[in-house]
Amino acid sequence: MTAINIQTTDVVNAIIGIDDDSPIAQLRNQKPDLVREVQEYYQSLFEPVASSVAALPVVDRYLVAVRVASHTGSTAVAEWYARLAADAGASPDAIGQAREVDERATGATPLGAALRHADLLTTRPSDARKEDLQDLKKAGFSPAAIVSLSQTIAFVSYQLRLVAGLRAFGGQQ
Amino acid sequence: MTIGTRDTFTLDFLEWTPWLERAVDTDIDPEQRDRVTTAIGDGSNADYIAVLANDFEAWQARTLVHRHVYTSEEPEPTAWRELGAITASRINGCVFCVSVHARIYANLSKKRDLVQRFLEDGVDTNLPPNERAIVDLGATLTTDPESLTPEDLEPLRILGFDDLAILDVLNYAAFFANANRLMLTLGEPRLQRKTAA
Repeated sequence: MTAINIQTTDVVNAIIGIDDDSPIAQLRNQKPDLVREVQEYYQSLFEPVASSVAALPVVDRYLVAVRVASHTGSTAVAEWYARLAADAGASPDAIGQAREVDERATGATPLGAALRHADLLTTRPSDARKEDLQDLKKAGFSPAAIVSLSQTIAFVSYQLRLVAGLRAFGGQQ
Repeated sequence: MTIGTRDTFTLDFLEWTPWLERAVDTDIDPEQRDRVTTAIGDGSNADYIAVLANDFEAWQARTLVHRHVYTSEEPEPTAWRELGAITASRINGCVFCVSVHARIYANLSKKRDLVQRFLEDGVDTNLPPNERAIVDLGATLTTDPESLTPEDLEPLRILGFDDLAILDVLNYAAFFANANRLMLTLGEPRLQRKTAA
């Protein structure tokens, strides 16, 4: 679990559980622009502008992120988004279903379709076909919502690997 | 079944056909349309950008990360990180991403034959020590990131890579988990249209 008393406003550092002046953070800070830009990419998806929220609700984004991180067993990343989902009003059942990647996501709701798309993109991205986007449209997704969903899945796929890679510098924490 | 462009790894230039409306094809307001049109430009990847521009803020934010990852001079662009990118893209099956970065790798490394064989045979092909270490790290990050431990970084350390160079390889390979998924699922590659000689 992430320590609550760490000193950072950077989400990647917070997920790893390190202060801004820790050795791993200092290594990252050798490329300060990139650190800032990754944080802004996160914010564009998880603290989005109003028009983007209208396309894809923030709580659904958190649950999709939980799903993506659960596929790789990225516990700390999944925990981060599960907490945000709970704070945003997601039920324990909804969060539990997002975590249960061995169970196919069911339901004709937009969230069900979003979780199934997350399964596809996370585990078999090269199997995606044009028809998969049609399925999302049938579930009510606009082009903007489809792109926000795809970006959310793609961002977390990057973030969880950045976290895992940084953690491998371990020992220096 | 015909083997299509999307199944054949190549060093050739490819183009990309979107599966989704471009932002300018939707009913966005005029001000947003101007912003999007200006941002898209007319480069070879204009359709890809135009699809991502459906979420303009996320596209803008991602572009900075992407550009930084691409053009960073600290450390300088290296064949090593390109090989990490190709490793992720080869495993994920992103023919388009492989084509772009295999060319960059070939230019930087002057090892066109090696990368051609890598594209054909995949990550288990026979490789010299530096290339092997990069591909192994990139493959683990791609397929089982949570299994990474400090020991996975040792082969590169022994070969003389410092922490920043290792992070550069890791970060670059990690970013292709992102790029591959967008490229693979919002459209598909096609062979470049022949232009009149």
